[in-house]
Order: sequence, then C-alpha cells, then structure tokens
Amino acid sequence: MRRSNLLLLLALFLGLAFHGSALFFTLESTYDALIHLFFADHYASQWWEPWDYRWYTGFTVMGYPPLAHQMMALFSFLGGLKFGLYSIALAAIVLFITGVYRFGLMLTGNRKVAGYTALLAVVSSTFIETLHLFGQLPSIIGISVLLHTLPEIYEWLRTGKVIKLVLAYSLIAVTVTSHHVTPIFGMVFFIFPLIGMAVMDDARDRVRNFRQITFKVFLNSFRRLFWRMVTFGMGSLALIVLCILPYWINSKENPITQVPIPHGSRDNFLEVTSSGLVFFLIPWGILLFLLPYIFYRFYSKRYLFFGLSFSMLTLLGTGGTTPLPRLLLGETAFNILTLDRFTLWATIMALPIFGEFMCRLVEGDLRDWLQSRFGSVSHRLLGGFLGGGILFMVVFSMSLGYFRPSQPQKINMLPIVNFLNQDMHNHWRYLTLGFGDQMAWLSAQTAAMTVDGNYHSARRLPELTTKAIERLENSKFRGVEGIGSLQQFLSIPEKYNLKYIFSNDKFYDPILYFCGWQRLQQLENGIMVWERLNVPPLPAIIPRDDVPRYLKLMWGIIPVLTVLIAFLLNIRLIWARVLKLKPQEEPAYLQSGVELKGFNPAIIKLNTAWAVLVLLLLCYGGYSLYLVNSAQRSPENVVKAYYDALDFKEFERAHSYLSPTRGVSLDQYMLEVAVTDGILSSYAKLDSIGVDLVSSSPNTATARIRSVWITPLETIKKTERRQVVKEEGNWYLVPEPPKRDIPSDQLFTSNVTRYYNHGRRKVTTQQTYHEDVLEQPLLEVLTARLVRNKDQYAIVGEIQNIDRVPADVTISATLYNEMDIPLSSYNAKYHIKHKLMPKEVTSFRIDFEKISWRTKDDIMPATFNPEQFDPVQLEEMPVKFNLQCAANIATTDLYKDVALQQLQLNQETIRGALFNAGVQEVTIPQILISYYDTKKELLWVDQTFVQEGIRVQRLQYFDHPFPELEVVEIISRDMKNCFVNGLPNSEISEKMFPDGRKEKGKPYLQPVSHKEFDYIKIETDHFIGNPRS
Amino acid sequence: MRKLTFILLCVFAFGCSRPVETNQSLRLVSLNIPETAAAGGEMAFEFHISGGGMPVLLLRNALGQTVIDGKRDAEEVIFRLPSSFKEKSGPCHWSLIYGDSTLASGVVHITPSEIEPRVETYLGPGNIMAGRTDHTILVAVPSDVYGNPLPDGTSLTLRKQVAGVLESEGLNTNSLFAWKRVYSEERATRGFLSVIAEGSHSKELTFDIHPAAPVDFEISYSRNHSYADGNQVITFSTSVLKDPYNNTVSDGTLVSFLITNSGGKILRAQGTTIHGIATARMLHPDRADQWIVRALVEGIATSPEIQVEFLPVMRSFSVKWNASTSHLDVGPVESFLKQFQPDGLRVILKVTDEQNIPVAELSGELSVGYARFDLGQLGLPSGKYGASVEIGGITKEIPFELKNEELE
Repeated sequence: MRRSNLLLLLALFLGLAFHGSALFFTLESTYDALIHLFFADHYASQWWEPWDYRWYTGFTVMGYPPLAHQMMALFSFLGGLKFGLYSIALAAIVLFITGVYRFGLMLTGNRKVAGYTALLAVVSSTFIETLHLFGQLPSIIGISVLLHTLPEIYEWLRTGKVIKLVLAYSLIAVTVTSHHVTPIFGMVFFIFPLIGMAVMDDARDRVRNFRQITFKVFLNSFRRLFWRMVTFGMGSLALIVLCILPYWINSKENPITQVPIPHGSRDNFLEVTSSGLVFFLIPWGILLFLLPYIFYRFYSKRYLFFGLSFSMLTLLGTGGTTPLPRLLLGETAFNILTLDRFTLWATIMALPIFGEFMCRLVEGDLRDWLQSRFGSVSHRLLGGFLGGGILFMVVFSMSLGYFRPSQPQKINMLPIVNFLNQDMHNHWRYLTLGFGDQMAWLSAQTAAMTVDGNYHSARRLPELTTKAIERLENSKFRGVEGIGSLQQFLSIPEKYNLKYIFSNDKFYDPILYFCGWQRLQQLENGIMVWERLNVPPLPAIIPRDDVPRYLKLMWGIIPVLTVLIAFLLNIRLIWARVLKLKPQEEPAYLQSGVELKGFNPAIIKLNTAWAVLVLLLLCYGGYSLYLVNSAQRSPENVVKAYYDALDFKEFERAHSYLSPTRGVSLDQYMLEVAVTDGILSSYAKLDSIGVDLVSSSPNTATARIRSVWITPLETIKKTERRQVVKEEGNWYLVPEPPKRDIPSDQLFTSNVTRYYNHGRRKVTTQQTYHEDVLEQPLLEVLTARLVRNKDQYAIVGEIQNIDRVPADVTISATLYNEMDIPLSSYNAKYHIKHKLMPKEVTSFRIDFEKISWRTKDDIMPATFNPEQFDPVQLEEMPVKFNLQCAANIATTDLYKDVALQQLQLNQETIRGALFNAGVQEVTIPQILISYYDTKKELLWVDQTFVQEGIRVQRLQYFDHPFPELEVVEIISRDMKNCFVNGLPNSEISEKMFPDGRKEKGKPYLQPVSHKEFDYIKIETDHFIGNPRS
Repeated sequence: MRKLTFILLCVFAFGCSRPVETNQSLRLVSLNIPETAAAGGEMAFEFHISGGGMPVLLLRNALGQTVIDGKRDAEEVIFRLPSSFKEKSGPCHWSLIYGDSTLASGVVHITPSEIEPRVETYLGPGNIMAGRTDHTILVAVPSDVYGNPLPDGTSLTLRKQVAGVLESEGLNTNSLFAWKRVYSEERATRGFLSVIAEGSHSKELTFDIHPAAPVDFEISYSRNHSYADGNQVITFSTSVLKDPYNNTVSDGTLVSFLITNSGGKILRAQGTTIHGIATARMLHPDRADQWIVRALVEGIATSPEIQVEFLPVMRSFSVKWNASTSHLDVGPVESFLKQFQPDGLRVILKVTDEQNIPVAELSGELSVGYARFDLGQLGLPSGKYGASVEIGGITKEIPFELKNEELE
C-alpha cells in the first residue's frame, strides 16, 4: 500500500521535473501548440463570440471543442497567453500520469503494478512524442480524463453506486469538451472492452475460477449488468451531444468541404520510412520488443475484450502499410482521420501490461524464474537492456525536434506586429510565407487578418478547400496544389484585400515578383515585406455567420462548468481519502485483480525469439540505409549524392565528391558556386533524379543524368552527361570546366534615375492628405483582342505607359457572352512586364484560369507541376471583353539594362543571348515573345524563364521553342470596353496625342518565315534577387 | 387589510406627484431679439415676462435643433446661444416655450462673420503636360472663421507665378464656390498659386508642368575598336530628347535601340534618359557584321538610322586531333594584333558520322587562345567521324577516328 503510492509520487515528481522543464524548449516548436494558443487568444479577447475574422477570411471556433483553449484563456488573464499554455501543459502532464496510474490500477488490481505503470508512462516515447513533438494538448487532456473515468465506470457497473455514475458522467463531460474524437472512439476502444471486463469479473465472482466462465455464465452476468450499461451509455451519449451541441450543429451546417490533406500517418510505413519512424517506431518504442507478451496477456480471458480492442488499435495505427485500415474505416474516415491517434491509444492501453511485466521482472515471479534458470546475470542483462532501451527512446524522441527541426527558426514577431499596427497596414489582409506553425503565434498577437490559417477544417474559401494543402504559407511542400493555390492568391490579391506578404523563405521571391509584387522593406528580424499596389482596403463591415445566442452561451458556459463540477465532485472524495474522514472502502477492481504467479516459460521463449527478430530487422534496416547512403560506393551513388548535396546547398560535401586529382580546390569551387545565380541554382528543389550509365569501365563511366527540379515558377527537366572516375576505391565526379568569359571592363559606371515616394508628408493619424496622394500614371492600351487558342481563351494586347513616371501595372479582364453576362475574370500573371518606365510598352496575355480541382472527382496530377494551367471551362462562348488597367507609381524593380544579342531563328526555336549591360546581377531573366500575323496584328503572347542568371557585363544564352499557333482565332477586336484607371482608353489617347501617334509600321517587329505567324517581338523582364542599393 | 393598504398607498403616491402647472400665470411682456446678426458675436435673447415659471427656448438651424435653459432675473429671462448656433450662418429659428404653449417665435438671420475670412482650395491634377491644351482646375471655397461659406459674388484674388511671371486676376464665387481652369505653359516648370479673399491668407498651391512627348532625335555610338571580338562593349547614345517646346523630356523615359544585323535579325537594347540623353550598351558581335541602328520612343519619336561596321578579328585557326587521348585541340586563336583572342569566346563543335549525320554538338570557350574537347566521354562507338569547329563565324573541318578500347 505505501510502496505503490510512493511509486506514483515518484512518477509525478519525475514527470513534472522532466517534462515540465523540457516543455519550455519544445512546446513552442511543436506542430499544434501555437494553434491552440491562437484559439486561446480568441477566447481571451472575445469569450462569447465564436466568429474570428483573423483566419480564412473569417471562421468559427465552434469547429473545435473549446475546453483546453478556454482554460488557457482563463490562465492568460493571470500571466499572459504563454503562461496559460504552459499551465495547461503542466496540468496535462499531471492528469496523464495519474490517469495512467488509475487505469493500470483498475486493469490489474495491483497497486504495485499500477505504480510501475505510472513510472513507465513518464518515460513512454508515445507520450513524449505527442507532447513534445506534436503538442496535441487537447488530445492528451482528453485521453487522460478518459482514463480517469474508466475506474468510475467500472465501479458503477460492478457496484451500482449512483455516486460512481455521477462521477463518471462528470468526467465524460470534461473529456467531451476538451476533445471530440477521444470520447467517440474512446467509447469503442476503451469503454466497450471495460464493460466486457466488468461483466467478465462479475461472471468470475459467480464461479470458482476463470476456466469455468462459459458463454452462458457470461451471458447471465451480462443480463444482470445490462441496465447499468444502458444507463451509463445513454447518459454519456446525452452528454456527448449536449456538452458540445454548438459543435455538432456547426458541423452539420458547415460540413467540412476540405479535400483530404495527405498525412504521414496514412502512408505506407515501409515505403515512406520517415513516416514509419515518426508514426510507428517512436510511439511503440521499447514496447515493440514485448509485443508477444502484451498480446498474450491481453488475450487471457479477463482482458479478452481489451485484447480485441488493442489488436484493432494496433492495426489501424499502421496506416497505409496494409490495405486493412482503409477497408475497416472506409475511404472517407480513412482520409479524414489522422491515424497516429490509434497508435497513441494502443500504446497507452499497453502501458499497464508493460508495467506488469516490469514489476514481474524487477521483483516478481519472472525475476525468480530467470534467476533460478539462468542465474542473476541474465536477469540483470535483461533489466539493463530494457532500461537502456527505454532511456535511448526517451533521449531519441526528445532530441528528434532538435536534430530534424520541423519548424523554421524562431521568429521574433514584434517587428511584424508593429508593422501591422503602423500606418493602417492592418486595413488589408496579410499573408505569411515560410513561417511554419509560428504563423498562429503571429495571428494571436495581432488583430490583422490573413487569408491563410492553420486549422484547415474551418476553411471556407473554395480556393483552399479544394486543395490538399495544409497552409498557403508552406505551399512549396505541396507541389502543384500548393504553388498553384498560392498563385491564385498572388494573381488576384484584390479579391481578398491581400496587400502585404511577410516572407521568411526566399524560395517564394520569384513567384512574388513575376505575379507583380514588390519588396517594401526588410524588417529588423530579417523578414522581407512584399506589397502589391492597387489593392483596396478591407470594407468596414465584413460578413460573418452568426449563430443563435443560446449556442454562444452554451459554448461559453458549459465547458468550464464541466470542469468545475468534476472538480467539486472529485475534491470531496480526495479530501475524504486523504483526511481519512471515514473508513475507505476498497474499490471493486482491487478485488478482481489477477494473481501474478507462475510465469509461462513458453511465452518467454516466444518473446525472446521475437525480440531477436526485431533486433535483426532493425540491424538490416540500418544496413540497407547505409548501402543507399554510402555515397562513393558506385557511380550512380556518387552522382545522386552530389546532386543531393547541391540540393541542400552543402557545397563542401558536394566538393568532396569531385575528383581530387582533377584539381578544383574547395576555394575555387566555392567561388564558382558563389557566382552562379539563377532560378536553377538559387530557387530550385530537386524533385527526382535518374542516373543511367552510358558507358562504363572498371575505373571510368559516363553517366546520363535526368533530373527534375521544382521551382516556384515552373518545373525544370534537365538532362546532362557527367564523367565519373574511380580513384583509390572511391567513385568521384569529374568537375565541369569553369566559365572562361572575362568582361572587358574591370570597373565601369552606370547611371540610372531613381525614385522616392514620401508617402505621407504630413505626419497624421488621419487619412493621407489629398496633396500627398500620388496621381495614377496614365497608360494607354495600344491593342487588345480576345483570342482562342484551341480550347483556351485569352486576351492578348499591348499597353504603354504614356506618363512621365514609372508605372506598376495591374490588368484584369472579364469575358462576357452575347447577353452581356460575365463568364470569367482574371488578372495578367506572368505574361506581362508589371513595371513600366515612361513610354515603355509591354505585351500582355491574360489567361482565364479556373479554381483548380473544384470538385473532388477531378483527377489530381500525381507529380508536381507549377505551370499546370487549367483553362476555365466556359459554358458559353465569350464574345466581348472588358479590360480594366490600373497603374500606380512604381519606385522599385526598374532595371532595364539588358540587351538582346546573337539572335537566331529557325522553324522550331528562337535562340539568342542576353547581355547584362548594367550594374545589377539579374537572377531570373524572363523573355516575353509576341507573335504577329502578316498585317502585323497581334496573335499570341508567350513567355519563358531563362534558367540561369546573367552576371554583370556577361552573356546568358537562351533557347525557346515556338508554341503551336495553328488554331489561334481572333474573336473580338473591340476595344470599346478598355479602361485605364477607370477612364475610357480612347479619351486618353485623344488627349495625349491630339495629332495622332507616330506609327511607322512597327519597325521593331522581327520578320520570321514561319507558317503560323510572320513577325515576332522579343521583350525582357528581370527579377533581381539581391538588389544592390 | 391588504386592500386597504394598497388603496392608501395609491392615494399617497398620487398625492406625491407634481401638480400640473398652468401657464395662466406666465405672460410675455416684451422681447429684445435682433433680426440679423453676424456669426460668432455674443448673442443673448432677452424676454420680459410676468408671472411665475421658467420658459425654455427651442432653437433650430441647419445643423439641428436643441432646447436651452435661460437665466431668470426678476422679470427678465436671458438665453445665451451656444456656439453651434451663434456661429452657424443662415436662418436660426427660435421659439419660446412654456409648458405646452409657444409664447413667441421668430427667425434670426445670421450672416457670415467678416473677421478673418479664409479660403479652402483644391487643385488637381497636380501634374500637367507642357503645351497649351492641358490644364489643372482650381476650386476655391471662401468661408468665414467659423467655416460658414461667404455669400455668392464674394470676390477672390488668384495669384499665379509660373516661370517667374507673376499674374493676378479676380474671381467671384457662384453657388458658394469659385473655380478656374489653369492652363499649362510651354515651359516645363513648377507653378505656384494662391487664392485670397479680402483680409485672408492662402496656403501655397503648386502644380508641375512636365515636358510633353518627345520629338525625333539623333543617335550616335562610341566604341574602343571596330573588331568583332565578342568582348568589348559598344555604347549607343541619343541626342538630348526634347519635346516640341524645347523642354528636355522627363528623366527615365525609355528609348529602345533597334539593331538590324546583316542576317536581318533585329537585336534590341534599351536605355532610359537622364537629362534627355539615353544610353544603351551592347557587346561587340563575335563575327564580322554590319549593324543598322535606329532608336525610338515607341509610337512617339524616332531617330534616323546609323551604320556600324564590325571587322573580323581573324582569318583562320588550327584544329588538331589527338588520337591517343581522344582530345580535339583548337587553337591558337589569334586576334587582330596577333594577340590571343580574349577568354570566353564561344567555340562550337559539331560531330558527324561517316554518313555525315550529326551525332553530337558541343560548345566550349576559349581560354588563353585554346579550347579542348574530350570526345572520348561522348560514348560514341569506335569509327570514323568528322568534326566541324566554328569560332566567330569561321568554320574548320577535320576528320578523325575514334578508337575506344574501353567500350565493349
């Protein structure tokens, strides 16, 4: 009696000391903790209002049970949000350890075993992972409270004491309000087997031993306890419905339309080994070695139902490794649920059995058996092995977040918060890029709104719900859907009042630039702020979904009330127990424990064999990992390793794969790397690589390397040949010759006009004075026509900045049918120079994209393709168009010093070179090509990104195939509905050039002998990654 | 008993209510109220009344209505108007009210104050084009110190200074405001305006006259030598771009230089003007060429054509095949002074098989006059091939035989 309490106290002490102190270094970089913090901030600022405008253009917090968030909010009034977070996390630790203790006690009826169970709970890798890696606080609280509920339910079933039923109800209510999935599945996986066990125990009391329990005896006991079960079942069902009624109503009214988002727990763990590690190996940890024992114990008669439940949980937790979980759960549930929770529950369920094993090993019959059979050394060895294994798993799972960080470096949010509060910047929406889950922490600190969010079940915009992406913020990890979705937000930001982007990842810079965004400033925390001109501010009143007042009251009152009630009910009993006010009655489950005597030697042998097998498997896994990763073992490996090193920008490692005898020093190599820039070397991620040997001999080989690179703008497929040599037993790559080109001038000068806009000249908190508002530059649409190329409609044209200042140009077009009904609308994206100097002309093309994969039945392409273009499916033929051009004064990104040289044309391609004549290094050159017919009428506009950058005073060659234009058909030439800054285009021309323009037959058009077009025009635009000021 | 208590309570409650006052006792004897008044002055309405009680004054003007309390001193009641009524020009209706009845009512016409008039002005657009057609519009609203518009016909003085010339003219308000088109001048400069009413001050209004679209211009070029070495830079520049009124065009105006080479291809460089002059740079071609250059501001102005000739840097170079190492060595490549051609010139190698079918195309760069191609790594089967090497438009052909023992 005294001993067991000591073990529990020790467990609590260790748990709080270990987890409690580690929390401060792990919790904020977990996946979920900051999301819960954001919700807590919502309740702290507006307890009764479920609508939050800050994410997803508005969403309701009734989509997640509120208890944990509300408790955090309450604590935050004492010491701030993070205080709330850590307080709840500490409470969760205590609840978990005591919960596991009580579960163990109930299951085994042995205080000693329960004490061991509690100790093992502290060091269980599944708990460490859930808390320190995933940060799933509500889930932990939910399961912990459920574990506390189980003994009360058992007591009620066995003894029929109403107080036990009331206690069980009160705890079920707390579980429900903290996590909705836990009680629903907990019913099936924990409470049903518990009921089974209670019935079994009841039957046991009626016969002499377990062997005598027949089905008939069991059925009789079942009948006897039936009404208790029904009472409990009905009551808890009512609680599940009632306590979070607003949640159920909300789920019914706003059904989750989100397409399934891939989750690692649904992967095939044998194929995706990283998912296998995180969702199988780590949570199971040392338990893996004891699986036969666990199954053996669970399939004894008393625990039979737990055995069934445990087997089911184990199976479901294996995700997509076998097709069984998919078959069992059905397609929909399989795709919505994250299956790691099943493994979590299975491992928690196994803890008491593990505790029992340890107890028997340390001081029970197993020790005696081992010592008598093999001597005390083997016993100590086994103990040492298990203890070492547990320690290893603890350290390994704790350090995982340190060595493989799942989040970007911690960002200091204060400069961003200040930026949003300045100068009415929060009158627009913002977007973060590359923030990871820290975006929730930013949202929690500001009232400004973002189009993104971090709770995808609450999304409402079809642009997001139809995409299987977690967040826009990390869209690069989700390939075509990710970048495709982001592109839509970047191309039509005015639809979402999206004006500011905080970028923590340079990867997105090119897409931002070519979608017409410009850099505003770099904040002191290194975050780059991008802005888009011509975006209207948010309206003063934003629509929202309101809910009846009674639901708001229920949502605000019931969860905290359940905690209060449960607390008051339980504190009474705890006091009674501690102060020994009245003699304690032994709980029923203590009388039904199983005596632990006579360890079955067969199971020891079986388990030993299993453990050896697991060890062998682990060793084999490690060896095959070594084979794949040992870089210089074969020509293919060294090529792959070299590209992998390049991909991760580990240039020193890459250099170590280059032939040491071919004389490229590390310094020289780093120098060459440092001077290459461009979309491929600075913004590409290696997607796949295939290496085959064209020729090979024992010591040399020529490899053909086909690589696919993902960039924010397009997918680049590259084929190249590299020579590989074997030197001193290792394979090396032969380095490529360096570029020899030497510019003619060492130092030279370049003059440019630079611009500065004061913004507000008068410092005022009011609207900007009208004298301080810059006038919009005048543009003129020179030509615009609606064309069709195969099934794709587009508007092509040319536009000129006829003002005296540089202009940032936004063009949006709408298509209409005969009846003047709008069919589709979109903005010019890549096919335009967004920044125009005075009198500069750009060709443009506006494509009409649909919101990709609007329906679930649409087939998603399997591989990444950011250029993936989905022309909108128009139901009717468009015959007219409306063109709205808007200009604002541009002061940045005005680099024009690139010349086109060495042009060569043939039937298939354009080849040429670009010469960088200025003083900025061009990172990504873009070539815009317009095609004209014999009458010099514009037919089509096409563009390409040159893969490498252009260094100063150097040439960069390009090669672009002509598009197929056989079927281009001009549908409308009518420019009546072209408007510039809201004014009719025709008036502008008349006013600026009263005597007409000086058109001399477009001398700038290049004649081409091609069957589909007769002239082309080539223009260039340039993204400069690191502008020198 | 309860009923009785209730009735008594009711009686008590009624007894406590205030007796209805009648205006029988109150009578207006005389009043002293002006018919017109200037805004902002001290305004007090005096009434002589007899009898007890205290009337209130209901006021109504363009801004709204209110009830004010007065001060009674014996038989005299004085109401002082709050600033929102005494400072607002226009009719101010008043009624003296006591209980349900209006004792007297009337209107005071408040005229704008004449002290410190001010003029609210708006000018836009602030940027106009040089010439005689473009204009900006001035709108002036004269008002008194309290913001009351001055009556129609108020005369204002517009002062304008453009390019050192001072002009002044009168304006009269109509419908409470005055407006005027201010036309552009031929000279690009900044114009200053002020509008004042008698006794007022004005803020500074400015507008900018910017140069109009440029007219045709000349171009020239400069370079360090006339050889097509693919390395030196040629600079094109325009004459000073002017508009029809001899203003230098705005800085930043984009000029495109179109170069038609002897192959009929149009090359393009561009530059933006600074003080009217745009420059653009290009690399010398890597082969002899004849460039015809013209510049234009698209659809607006253009230049005459000029010709630039580039001379070849060399006539020939040598190519050697080294069968033992499978290397093709190109060079030395010498330039116009017998010096090595500068590093980086492109060397293009085309390999054809015995049937003259192209099998490979490689490109390399000259380094210290030489270039080397390793043909062993192409993975071609052994056999006879032809190589054609092209540098700066000059091609050399050489046959070679590949013996690759390492290949099975």
